Amino acid sequence: MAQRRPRRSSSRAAAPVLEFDATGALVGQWGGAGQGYDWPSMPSGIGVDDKGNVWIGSGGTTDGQILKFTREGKFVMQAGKAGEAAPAAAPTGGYAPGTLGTTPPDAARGRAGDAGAAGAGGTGAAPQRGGGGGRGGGRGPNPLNPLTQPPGNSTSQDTFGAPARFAFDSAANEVYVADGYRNRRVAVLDMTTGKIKRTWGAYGKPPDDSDRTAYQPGGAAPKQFSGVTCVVLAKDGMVYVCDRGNDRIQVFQKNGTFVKEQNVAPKTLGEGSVWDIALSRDAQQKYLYVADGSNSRVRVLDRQTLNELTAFGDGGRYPSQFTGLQGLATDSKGNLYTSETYEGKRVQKFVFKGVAAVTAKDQGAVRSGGGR
Amino acid sequence: MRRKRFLFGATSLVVVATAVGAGLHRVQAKPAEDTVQAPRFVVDPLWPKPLPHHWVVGMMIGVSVDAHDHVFIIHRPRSLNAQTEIGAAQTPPTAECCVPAPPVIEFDPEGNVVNAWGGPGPGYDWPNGVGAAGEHGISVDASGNVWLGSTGSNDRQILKFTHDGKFIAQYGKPMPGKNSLSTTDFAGVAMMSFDEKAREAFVADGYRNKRVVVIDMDTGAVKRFWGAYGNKPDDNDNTPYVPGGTPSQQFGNPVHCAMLSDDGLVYVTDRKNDRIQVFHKDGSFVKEKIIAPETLGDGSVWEVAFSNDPAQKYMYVTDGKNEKVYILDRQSLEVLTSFGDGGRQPGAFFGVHSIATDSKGNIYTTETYEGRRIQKFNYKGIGTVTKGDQGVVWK
Repeated sequence: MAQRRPRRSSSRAAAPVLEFDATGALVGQWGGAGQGYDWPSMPSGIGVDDKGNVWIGSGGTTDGQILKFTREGKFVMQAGKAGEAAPAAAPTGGYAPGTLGTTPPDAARGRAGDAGAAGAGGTGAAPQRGGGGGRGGGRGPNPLNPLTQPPGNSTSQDTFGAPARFAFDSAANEVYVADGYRNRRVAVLDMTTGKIKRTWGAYGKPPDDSDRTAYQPGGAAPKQFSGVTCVVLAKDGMVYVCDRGNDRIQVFQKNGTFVKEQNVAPKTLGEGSVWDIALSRDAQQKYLYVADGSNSRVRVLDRQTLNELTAFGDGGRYPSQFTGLQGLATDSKGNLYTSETYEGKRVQKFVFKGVAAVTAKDQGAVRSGGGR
Repeated sequence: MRRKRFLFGATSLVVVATAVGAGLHRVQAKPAEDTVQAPRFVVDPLWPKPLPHHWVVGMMIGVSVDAHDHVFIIHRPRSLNAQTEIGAAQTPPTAECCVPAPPVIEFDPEGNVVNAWGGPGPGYDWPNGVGAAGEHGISVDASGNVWLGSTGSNDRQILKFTHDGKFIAQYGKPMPGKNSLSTTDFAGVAMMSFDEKAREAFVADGYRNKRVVVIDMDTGAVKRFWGAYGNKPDDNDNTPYVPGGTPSQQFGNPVHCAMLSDDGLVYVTDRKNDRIQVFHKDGSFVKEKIIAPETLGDGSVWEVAFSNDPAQKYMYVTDGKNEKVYILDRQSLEVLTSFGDGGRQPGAFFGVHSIATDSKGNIYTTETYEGRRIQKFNYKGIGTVTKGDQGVVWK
């Protein structure tokens, strides 16, 4: 064994991007600042396309860029710019929005969050947002909360507003971008050039950054997105968008034509209920999984009806519980991977056990040792 | 020998991997390692069972096992984050998740919650303080009574409850200040252990005082106290800890643990000074052991538990700074091995704080800071383990 200098602590931050094989072994790690691109002040979201290229979003209050790397972490392309938005309030917490992507083969890539920013002492900086109750109250500097981000520029044709997530249409060479924590649109880009081809806002209408209508449970449906934190493309061409702050999913055709919407846990205040979406791996993609980081649950929806069939998980630090459930991805076996932000900071695997009778509504923690 | 304790991994890659899990060990070509005979443990990822009622816990800063192998913990409900963890407890509720669990939780050996209690009440001063601080330490005596320390900024009291949370007695009272010579009050009591025969409690006092204090278990009367090396405590001696420097003649803060062995030795963790000091029950100094002496800040020795064999041959020490549990030969105080590493997955730690053993030899650990959980490590008998450091004991 090599002799090493004494360390004050055995723990230190992992690289921003980690690649695990299907057995859970770490097989790759890379990322961080480098030549020719602007590493995000707060990385957010990861997507792996059919060629194995890795797309990374950016959630910091001044981040407007999308980065494309090879599977091994060699820089390929940057779309959009960093440092564009005027920061209304600089982020103070160490909370990085970890999300997940899976490659076409079964490797799961997970972003474990920027652990180095988390501080080893004390309570950790709380993601601040004044008055945890109502919306539109104090807008503390929590970049993960769409409502605390400064307004974006949702009409820009060359940059983004904290882009959060990606979906790929390889046949059309198009990438769909959830844009984002600041902007309130879906942007479709040429996968090779990064050039914006089309964009749309809620209901397929042009986005309006000046409309900051706060979501009220039971009130009129907001006409604008409030935190576009995911976009997922189904094989049948439907585009599913997380409108996190408004507790809803909106569904579109690939050209941006609005199809329908569905509220999820509509009483949820705070940071909203629809954080990320993944689809089941059967041929029809019959089920749609929603990461609900406010309620600490994975919700299982029928993709066609968008009715919620069941949910699992609960708050906590143990297996099958969540603290800041942020990202979702499925592998070819149907297994589900979750990532947690805030103080959760981990990836969990949920083994697919087939389709069967389960408790409607809420199963609690699902573990081999039995749930609640 | 001492050097071995710092062999955290063969390559930096190992360190990276164990920060997020234990997976990389499989693909790492391991060099031949020194081994040692020591108790073996494997984390039980499914203990305890999920808490009921959407309860979540804050910093978990105490654990004790009673005579029936029921596991008591204490945590800090006020350390929970209103926005991200306890939305269901807000007005109006922002989410279905979650609500703070009561501060004291009792688990049965299977990990079911069988009781939960605690918090402010009439007739006593529940630990208070600014923000998250306050609750600290839980110690169950042979009668099943539950003793709590207190580390809020004005906390100078010890609380004694029945097994089921009925208030029995309070010794000391909250007020500003500290006094390591006081015969009535304490200052930031971390935890305690008991000499049932002599009806004496050995108190780690504490976060502001710099002493071990022995009180009568039935009256709370202070019987004797001492500082580092058995010296008279001196609150004005704040010698900083410098690795390799002259050892302080006083305890630093906190004096975090005072654990009495069956053969009458008191093991005291002097966290800031990275050392364990051993005393006779009368306070006479026996010896000391420095562990991971490069550790700064929170220090390397947090709390002590003993193996459950009649001789209590082994001693387990939590290190919430280096995120591991050391296994020592209790007589020689030699560090045989250690396990754990920083991280959120089972078997990893974030702020591993308190430790206790049950009658089967299993270990329970609790984590403060962002860790906020109890973990069980199943005892697998004495066996051959890696000398120095085992990393996460995964399976």
